[in-house]
Amino acid sequence: MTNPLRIAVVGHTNTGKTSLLRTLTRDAGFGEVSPRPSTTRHVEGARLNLGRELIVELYDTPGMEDAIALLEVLDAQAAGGGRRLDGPARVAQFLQSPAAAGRFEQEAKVLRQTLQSDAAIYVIDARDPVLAKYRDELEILANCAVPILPLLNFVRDPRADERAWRDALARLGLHVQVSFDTVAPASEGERIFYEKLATLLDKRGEALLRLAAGHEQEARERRLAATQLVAELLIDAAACRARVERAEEQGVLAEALAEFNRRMRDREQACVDALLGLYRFNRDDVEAGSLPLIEGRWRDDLFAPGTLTALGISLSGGAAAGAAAGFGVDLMLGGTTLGAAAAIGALLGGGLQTARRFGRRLGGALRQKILGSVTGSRFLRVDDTILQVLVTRQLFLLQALEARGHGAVAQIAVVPPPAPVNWKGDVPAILRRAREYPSWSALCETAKPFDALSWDAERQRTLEALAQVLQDLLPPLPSGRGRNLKS
Amino acid sequence: MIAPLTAPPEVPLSRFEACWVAEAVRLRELAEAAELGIGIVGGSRSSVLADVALPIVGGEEAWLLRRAETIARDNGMLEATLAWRRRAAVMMGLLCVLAVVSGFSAALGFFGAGERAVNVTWTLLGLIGMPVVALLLWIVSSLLAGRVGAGVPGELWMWLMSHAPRFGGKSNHAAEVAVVRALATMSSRSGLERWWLGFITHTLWLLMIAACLVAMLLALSLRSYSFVLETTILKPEDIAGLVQNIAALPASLGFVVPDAEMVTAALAATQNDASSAVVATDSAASLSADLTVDASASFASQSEAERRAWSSWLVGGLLVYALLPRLLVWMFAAVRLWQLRAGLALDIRLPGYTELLRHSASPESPGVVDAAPALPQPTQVAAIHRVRNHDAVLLGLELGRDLLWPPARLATPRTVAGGGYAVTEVVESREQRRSTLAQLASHAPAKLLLACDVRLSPDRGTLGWIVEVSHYAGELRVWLVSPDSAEDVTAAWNRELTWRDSLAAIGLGPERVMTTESAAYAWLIQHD
Repeated sequence: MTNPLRIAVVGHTNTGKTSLLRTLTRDAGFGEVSPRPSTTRHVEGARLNLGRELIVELYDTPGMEDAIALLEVLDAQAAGGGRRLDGPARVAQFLQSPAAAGRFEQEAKVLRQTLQSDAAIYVIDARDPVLAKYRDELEILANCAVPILPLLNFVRDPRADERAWRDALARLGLHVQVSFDTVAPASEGERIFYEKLATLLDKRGEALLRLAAGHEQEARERRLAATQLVAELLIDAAACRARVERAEEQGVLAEALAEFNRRMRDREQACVDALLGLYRFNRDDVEAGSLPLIEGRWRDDLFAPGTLTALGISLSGGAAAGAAAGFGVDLMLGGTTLGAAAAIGALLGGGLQTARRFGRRLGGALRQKILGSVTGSRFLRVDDTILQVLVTRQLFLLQALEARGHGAVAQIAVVPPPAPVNWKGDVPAILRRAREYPSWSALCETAKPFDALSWDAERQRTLEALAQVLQDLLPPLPSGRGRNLKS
Repeated sequence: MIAPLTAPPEVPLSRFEACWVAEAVRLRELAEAAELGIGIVGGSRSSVLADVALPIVGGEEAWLLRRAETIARDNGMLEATLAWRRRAAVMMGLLCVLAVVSGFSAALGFFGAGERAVNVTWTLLGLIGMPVVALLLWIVSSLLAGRVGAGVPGELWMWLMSHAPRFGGKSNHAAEVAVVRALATMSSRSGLERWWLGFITHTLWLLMIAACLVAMLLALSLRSYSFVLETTILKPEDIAGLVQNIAALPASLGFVVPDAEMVTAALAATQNDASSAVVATDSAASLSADLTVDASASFASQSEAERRAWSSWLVGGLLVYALLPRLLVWMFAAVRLWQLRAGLALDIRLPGYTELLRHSASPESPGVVDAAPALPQPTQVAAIHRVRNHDAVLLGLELGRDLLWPPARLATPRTVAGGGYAVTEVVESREQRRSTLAQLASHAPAKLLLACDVRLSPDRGTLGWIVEVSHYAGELRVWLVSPDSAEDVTAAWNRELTWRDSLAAIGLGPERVMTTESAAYAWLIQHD
């Protein structure tokens, strides 16, 4: 295995170096991030792998705080030596001097790390004016004789003066620059960043291009996993059917409904948690974000009438009364006016399996009708509108998590509020199918371990189909086709 | 028969079993992770698999399989898998016995005890009818639906698996669910499902037909039968044609089949039977006796060659139309099953695996390679001291370009009785700092007001310079300049606190920090 690229992340204090590392490593737990300066005062490494291959070691360094004085010291040392020294020699000379262990200990750490690195990323808070001290920092770093990639952070902020920075950097001879918002990275931002870095590293940069492609592959895999989680939630919710005995008695139905709703809420929460876990966020990480989440929970209750209107989901006819209260009391007869023609059509179109399914459905409906009229039991199941809320909210969360950098600590609006998922497409069609198999739901029916294998296989196929449909609803991810360096 | 529950034997797993166990472990881990609200590997946080740290050697797939096996041995998943397999085998055994018994009894039922002549077409069609129709249905549904592969015996087996009581020790419900689910997802993903369900179906049918054949051969060897052709509404020629058509394929394979004469003879025997039966109705009492006589009569009338030909026709028909097609399909299913099982590969891009691989690839990060230095004790600003003038200087230090400098209200230096103030350029660079210090050193003002941009982060260099410059003034105060626009003010709010803390650390308490222009102006022009 070749040695990994060693890259030092340097810059003025409080420009977002640690945030950059968090975003690049997708690890919100790396280091410590705060709005105060001098939060990081040590050098800490992190690794970027492609499969099992270690590609990059990133080093987070303390901020440079006293560049003007340091450059003065360096100049004085160079002038005093009587010999003309090149940059690295000057830096080495400084690192051996007492000043490096005293007043400039923090800067010495930065320089020591940079000297050992293959390249340095100079992180800039693009909201700051181009001050003389920043120029001095770059001049000092240039002495280390490693390629420097200036990275403009917070470029999405309206105060950011990207142009002034780009001009200033060009005047310092730094023509390869990159904009990268560590809080809300653009969807292709990471690849562009690696490509820029690769241009500075010549042959060794090739590994970075592979890394970028690998990361895009991972993003697609993550999205696949995420849509499967959402599909799992939807199938659990849609298939769930709870039987209420003696429903006509006082309070029985209301109590059962409360229990039913609680289970739904918990199930949705489990999905939120799983998505956060998948995208490697803590509950607290997203708390202050643009998401209507409080401590990792949705702010609006799943069954609150306001939730529907907030998402722009209109209540449809007969469902309105039930949906506003948050449920559908369903005798499952409306959906199963199954004529002979439908049965024959199903036989022709879908073969025996389909016919059997219709049989089940019809049988179940009849059984329920008879049971219901004899015993007074009712069946609860979640209404279509609630499913619509579920899918809309989870897809919104998914996109917000995709767009969110792991360096984000503060509130920032990135994703527009969700538009309700179109309820005429494939999603409801698949979910209607799921409704016919109460045993598919892990929520309401106690899962029978040996319930026919083919059902599980069928559930799996439905799940995968639904996940695919959900994927199609999302904006496409970067294609991952390796772009040419020159572009 | 039943393995101990605690320690599964260390037999090497087959590839199929290994993949199955891995899938079960994966599903279980995903479920656990979802329950806990963490990723399978939750970054630096606690993770489901924190305790399993096997180094990746010998390929990612092999590593995942080995890891899954290790976990499964510990948490009972492997035991559940093996137990399920055993159960499946037992149920399959039961069904096999059932198939053999039913095949046997079907054949014997059709042949009877020999007291009555055997109706050859009725017997053959009865014995091959069910299997042939079932096979056709299986083929058609497989072609049409593309995935329905169970067939009736397969469904029966699944039903038994779900409903038959479990024996032997306590069962681990959660593990069982995962195991069954894993088998379902894995086989539906790899396409195995339809072939192993099909394999079960075909095996059972094959056993049944074979048992049928054996029973038929046994009956034909050990008992004597006579053979007739019967019809009620068909014309004799039709029956003869049917017999010949059925015979065509077995004959081409070398089976002896009855020739035209034999067929006519068998039909004639039937007609005799029928006429004698009509006669017999005249006397109900003598019916049974007549039949016996008729049977023995036709029995006696059939030559040995005829009986052999008819026997061969029956055996050939069963073999060619029921056993061979089923055997072919069975072999096809077996080959497909074997191929798919041999080619079974773990899809390492599945959710769960990708995270695992990524995680295990970087077991340790370099961590802190250069520890934080001791927190430096910040030097303090000079104490307020008397200076023999009433001059005041307003000094801008590293201000944003959007801030107006000098500020409109303070733009024109004023001279008030007994004191005035001057406004310097904005100080940024080393040279500016040096010349400003030189100026102040030559003429130290009584008051020095430093204007700092509140949106920038206070750093050690700036604070150090503030301390340095404080020696050249009677009293130094800091004005934190904020921009006019409202959104900037909110953005700057956090940093103002930071500034105040940092300034307090170098000895500039809140009474010496101001944030408004009017306060700055008031302090500059006020004289005591």
